[in-house]
Parts: sequence; C-alpha cells; structure tokens
Amino acid sequence: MKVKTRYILIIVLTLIITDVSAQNSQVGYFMNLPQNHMLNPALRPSNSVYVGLPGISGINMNINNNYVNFSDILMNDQASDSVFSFMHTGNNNATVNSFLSKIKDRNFIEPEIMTQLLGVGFAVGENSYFFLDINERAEGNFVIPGDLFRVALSGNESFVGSTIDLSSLRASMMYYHEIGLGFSRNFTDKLRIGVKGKLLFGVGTMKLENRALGITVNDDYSHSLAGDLTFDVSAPVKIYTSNENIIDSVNFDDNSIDAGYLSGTGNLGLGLDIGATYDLTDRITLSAAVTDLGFIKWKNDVSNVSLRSQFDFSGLDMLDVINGTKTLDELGTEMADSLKNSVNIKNSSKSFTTFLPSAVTLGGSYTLNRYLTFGLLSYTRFIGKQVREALTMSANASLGNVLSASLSYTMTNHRYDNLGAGLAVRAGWAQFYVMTDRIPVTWNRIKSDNSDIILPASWNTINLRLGMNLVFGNRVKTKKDKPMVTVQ
Amino acid sequence: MKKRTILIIIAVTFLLVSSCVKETYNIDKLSDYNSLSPTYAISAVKGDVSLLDMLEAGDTVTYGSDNFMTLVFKQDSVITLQSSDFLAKGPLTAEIEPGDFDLGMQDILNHITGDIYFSNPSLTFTYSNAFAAPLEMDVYITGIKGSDSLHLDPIVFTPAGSGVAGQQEAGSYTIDNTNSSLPDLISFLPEKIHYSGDAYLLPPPKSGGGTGEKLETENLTGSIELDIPMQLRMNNLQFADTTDNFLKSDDNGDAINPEDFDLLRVDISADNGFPLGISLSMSLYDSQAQKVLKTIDATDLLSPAAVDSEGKSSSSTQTNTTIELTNDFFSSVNKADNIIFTFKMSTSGGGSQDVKIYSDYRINFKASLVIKPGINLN
Repeated sequence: MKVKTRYILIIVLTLIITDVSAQNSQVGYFMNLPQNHMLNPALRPSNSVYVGLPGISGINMNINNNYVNFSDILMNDQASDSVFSFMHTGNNNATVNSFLSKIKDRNFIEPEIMTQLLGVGFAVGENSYFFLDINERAEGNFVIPGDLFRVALSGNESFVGSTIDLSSLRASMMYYHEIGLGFSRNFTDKLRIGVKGKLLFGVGTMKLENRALGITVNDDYSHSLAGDLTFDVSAPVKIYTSNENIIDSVNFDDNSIDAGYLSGTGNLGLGLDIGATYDLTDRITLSAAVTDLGFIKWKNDVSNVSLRSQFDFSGLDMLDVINGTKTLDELGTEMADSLKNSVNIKNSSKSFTTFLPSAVTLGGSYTLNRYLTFGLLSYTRFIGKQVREALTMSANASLGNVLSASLSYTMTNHRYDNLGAGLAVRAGWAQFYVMTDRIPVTWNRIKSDNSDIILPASWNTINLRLGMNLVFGNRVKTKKDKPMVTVQ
Repeated sequence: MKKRTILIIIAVTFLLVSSCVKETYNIDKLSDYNSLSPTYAISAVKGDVSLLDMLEAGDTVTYGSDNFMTLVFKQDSVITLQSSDFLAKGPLTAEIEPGDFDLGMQDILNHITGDIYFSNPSLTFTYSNAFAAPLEMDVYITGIKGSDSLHLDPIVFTPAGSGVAGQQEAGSYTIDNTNSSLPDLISFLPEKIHYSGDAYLLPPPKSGGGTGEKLETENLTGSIELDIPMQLRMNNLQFADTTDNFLKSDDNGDAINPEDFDLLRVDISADNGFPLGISLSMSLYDSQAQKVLKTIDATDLLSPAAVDSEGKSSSSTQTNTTIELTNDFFSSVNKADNIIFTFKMSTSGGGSQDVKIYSDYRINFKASLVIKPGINLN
C-alpha cells in the first residue's frame, strides 16, 4: 500500500475514532462508587473513607463519533479477499457517496481526558461527607461541518445556487489542572445537598470562534466568501504577521514546555459543582446537579488573531488583458492580492476567558427492594452554543456494599442502541470497578504483517471506564423501614 | 433477589463474552487503486469590452464622429513625376513607376479563407501638380494574393493644375464603388496592391518639346490612401491557425497531465452587441500521421446581434455555449503535436446584408470552468 493512501486513511480514522459525546459515564450514576460526586456532589458512597491513587483510581476511555463506522471506511471484497477503501477507484463514486451519506451537517469531535491524580473522601458523622479531588483535565471541542467533507470529496458543483456552510466550524482545546474541595450533607431526612468548589490552573488552550464562515456558489459559478473568525491561543506559540497583516509564520517553542510551565499558576480559574438529592418517598429518590460551572482567565503566552473577510470572485476581468495594459499573470497576482487584502487580520496579545462545558444532570430512581433499583437519568451538556443530551435508563443491583452492578440503555447522539453495563466489586478495602456505556457486541480484526488489532465494529459509542479505589469504613445503609412483622 | 442479581451479571457477562469478530480486514491487501474525482466549478474570466477597448484609434484604425470604424492605409510618394520623366520615355509620355502598396496584413490574410465583402472602400490619390500643361493619368491597379491577382479597370483621370509651370496645385482623385470595382478587389483580401501606369501631357508643349528646357521645374507628386469603411458582410469566413500542442504534458513531470482529467468543461455565456457571429473548433492534430485525432466544436460561440436597415446593431444577442473536453479527448492529447484552431465568422443574416461596425459595440462575456480531476491516490 502506498504511503499516500495510508496517510489519508490515518487522517480519516483519526477524525473518526474520537470521542464525540465525552460525557461522564451515565452507567455509574446509581452505583456505589466514590467517583459519583463528579456527576452530582450530593452523591456519596456507602464507605466512610475512600482514597483514589494516581493512575489506578480511574481510567476513562471514550471512543465515539456521530457519523461513520469502520465498515464505511474500509470494505472487504469477498471475491478477491482484498480490502478497499471508500475511495476505491472504479465504482463511479458509489462508495464515496455512501460515505458522504453518513456525514451529518455537524460532525462533532469532543475528546475529553480526565486523570484523577488524587481523590480523597471521608464522612464526618452520619450526615456529612467531605471530598477532595486533584485532576488533570483536557477537553476538546471540534465541529467539522458536513459541507467541508462534501466539498473536499465531491467538489463544489453540487453547491451551485447555495452556500458551502462552514459556520458550524469550531475548534477548542483546553488543558488545565483542577483542585476541587467538596462537601455534602443531609439537611433534612430527605434532602441532601452537595457543593464542590474548584480552583483551576490553565496550562494551555486554543480556541477558534466562528461568527460566520461560508462560501456562496452562485449560478454562474462566481463565489462569495464571508468569514468572521477569532483565534485565541494561550500556549508557547508565537504568531507573526507581516506589515500587510498577512500571517507570516507560527512558531511553537517546545523548549519552554517544562515542569515550571506545566505547573504555572498564571491562568487562574474557578469552578463550581452543586447538586442535591431528595427522597420523595421511601422508594423514589430525585436528584439534580449542575456541574462544571466555571471559567479560566488566560493571561500567559496569549496570542489573538481576528480575521474578517468579504471577498467576491466572479472571474478575472479580461478588459485589461484585451486592451493590453496587463498580462494574464498580472491579473492572477492582482486577484491573489485582492484576496489577501480582503482578509483583515489583527494580531494582539489580550487576555481572554474560556468557560467550562457545564452540565445539568437530572435523575430519578425507584428502589424496588434493597437489592434492585431502577434509574432514569438525563444528562445535558452545554458546549458553547451546542447542547448534548443523553437519556439513560438503568437497572441497578447491589449486594450489600460488596457488589454493585448496573445494566443501562442510553439514548444519545441520535443513537438508540446503546446498551451499557457496570460492575463494582469490593474485596476488603480494595474496590474494583469497570463500566461501559455501550457493549460492543461485534468486533473487527485489523490485520497486518506487524500487528493485529481488534476494534469494535460499531464506533458510534464506545466507552470503557475502569479503576480501583481504596475504601475504608464500609457500611450498609440502614433501612429505616420498620419491619412489617415484629417478633417480640 | 440474589438470583436476579446473578442473572443480570450473567447477562452482562454473556454480552461481553459473546462478542465476536464480525470481519477481518487484512490491511496488507488494501487496494492500491484509490482515487477521488470531485467536480469543481469556478468562474474563470469575464469581460465587458467595446471595440474601442480592443482596437484603439490610430493611423490604421479610425473612428468617425459617429463612432463608425474605418481602416485606413496610406503610402506617400506613390507617384513622383518629373518633367525629365517625360523626356526619358519620349515626348508627352511618362511612366508611373510601378510599386506595391503593402497592407501589412499578410500574416493574417494567409489564414483566412471564405467570403467577405467590403461594400464601400475607396482609394484616393492625393497629388500636388506643378505641370503647366494638363496631364492624363492612366493608373493600373492589381490586387495580389499569393499567385492570384485581380485587376481593376484602368483608372484614367486628369489632375487639376494651375496652368502655370512650377506652381503647385493640390487635388485628389477617388475611386470607389461608383466608378470602379474596388469593392471586389478589396474583398479579394489582397496582400498588397500593385500599381503602375502612364502619364500623358495634354496638349503638347508649345515649344521645346523633347528638350525639357521649359519642363524642368514642373513635377507631380502623389500619395495613395485606401479607406475601408467597416461596412461589410461575410459568411463563414474562416480563420485557421496551427499552434504547438500546449496541452501536452512535459517530460519533466511537473506539468499537469491532461490524462488526469475526467472532464474539463468551459461554459461560456456572452451578450454580443456585434453583428458578427463566431464559431470555434479545436482539433488535435498528429503531424506525423497527418491526421486529426479529435475535434471539439463550439458552434455559435457568439451569435451576431440583430441589425437595423442601416446595418447597425439594434440589440445584443445572448448565447450560452458549452465546450466539453472529456476523458476521451484527453486520451489523445499526448499523441498530438499540434492544435488547430478554426474560427468561422458570419455577419448578421448569414452575410445576406451589409452590417456596419461601430466603436461603441460591446460584448459582455463570462467563462466558467468545470473541472473533474481524477486525483490518483496510489
């Protein structure tokens, strides 16, 4: 296989094998896990003390996309035992068209990585619970307009009389440290409220804000470009512009990435999680939480580039060539200059603010008996102007505080076939857990001379989270139900 | 209840365990044949030009106050007669030294065939006559195109004179469609106009005939001017030119290989204010085999504008033309070493009536490219 094909496939695969929803796992919400306070700070585990250690308390992997699967990229030719891509020659673009039919108008890629460096939680008395988290968090939000795929793979002719709409193009990445200190308490027999304040230390960010971007293709094939973008960076990156306000170069100073840089406190931010649970009846519990309300003010190594452009191109005007005052080459150069001049670029170094993608969680559970609880959970995430919604139904079993299991069904991301499961088992003071929002039923094996990789056949939602907590002071929640029959 | 829990655990475990390999993809057998063929369309060129933008007024191209266009060709000292010329040839007679009036259009005319008719050309002799005696000029005009020629009937005229030896009298004599078949000669599209003739003194000098003593201060000089007003008609006038095949890819490999295009389409729309229509054909020619490999025709590239009874454009004519170069055409590009362009031109009404060309005629055009490259990803 030639290098070019590999390269293109790698790009496509990289774009696709990426978390799009990036939400916290819904499966664990009704399980007996210390990490649940990250979804709702009012939740607390049954044990009195927990310690989450770096690297082992939680590994969270999300693989998700909202448009295509592996089988849309590569196909087996049953007759010849060969593999061909969706760009295979000689099928009149049938596979390309099939690929494009899977593409949405907005194709989200939202990777999120969170590593818990330290997690501590402990109960104080019967009603109060304190917890501390130190997390490393990196979040990304990319939206690739469907028209970008369409124009790249099919060209612009199909857009005649309409606009290549790139207004949904978004890009942002943010890496920061989070130190959170939380507290929850039973304020009444039925109401429990938790709150967590977070101090945020930004390491680096990149944000592309798109107020307008589109290319109108008119009936006569003339084009009108309109763009209004702002690009903010806080990273050891320098953007140099020429006197003509053209971006000359972008330099990344990787020598400045050291321990001092990574532990810097120049980009400070604040965050807040707040939540509550309310026992409506002995069997029905309602809960609500707002998490990740917060912002980071970026001041270190800041570069801002704003770009505005309005450019119409309806062909080179041949008048000057015909009357001999200019050559065709000169006209081409003039056109390129006009395009450059139409782009108004401003380069500055002003601090800016980014907001965390906040989330609202609403839950309700029905406890059938001491072993089995049914849950309904709505998780809504706000990423800028975008809203992601997931609705999960789950059946949750617990066997004392030794075993907690959950089987869930989640509707999210326009997919309605997400069957998830979770299992937490305690052996002494060690609690192991594993959970997934979608159970991969079928897999694909990717073979090559040097490697053999197994990937889920469906990539739409793949989630795996596993880890180990140290838990102490385990107890079983005492039911307040009075026995129906009292034996004297 | 324990049983239920166990059942759930078993169900989850079953789902995980029962997961199976659906397909195996051997990347080492991934097909090399990958390509994309997007279709891109873009407006390439446009223009709104008048004849004045294309042909500025100058010595040869002139525009009248009414913007009417005339081609003017001049040559000075076409006729120079001295009294000694009469003495040299014999009493009373002198030879007008033969010469050629080169129109300087040989390169263009060599490529033109077909019918064109200029309705109202004129040829004017402008002279300064200092002979005392009346002169008769017999001038012979021949149009020459290659080995062909066309003669006008002899032109006989008598230059005006002052009657006083040595006193210059200016005058001119014009031939046109009223007194000659000059339109036929000009429409013959001659490369040059050959002239010759004789001059006669009338009546004979009273004394000294043959001695030249009294004629020595007498002379006549004349220039010639050919005016071709652009009042014309043509039908399928053909202009053909052969160029090197500029579409052929270079050996250095950095040129665009035409075979990589599945389609190249040129959409041309024009609003033509000229009473002149143009068709175009482009042929790939193999000079070794002396064979035309492929031909692309664009008939009615420009349709002529309608004209009024005076032959002036009364309204413009809209045309839309598509020139499509397909993969079939591109497959022959590298086999051809020449491209032959052929333009065919006709005036309004298919050349059945005269049209007039004015400098304020305009043509508004747009040309768009639709390209479907075969992007080979191998």
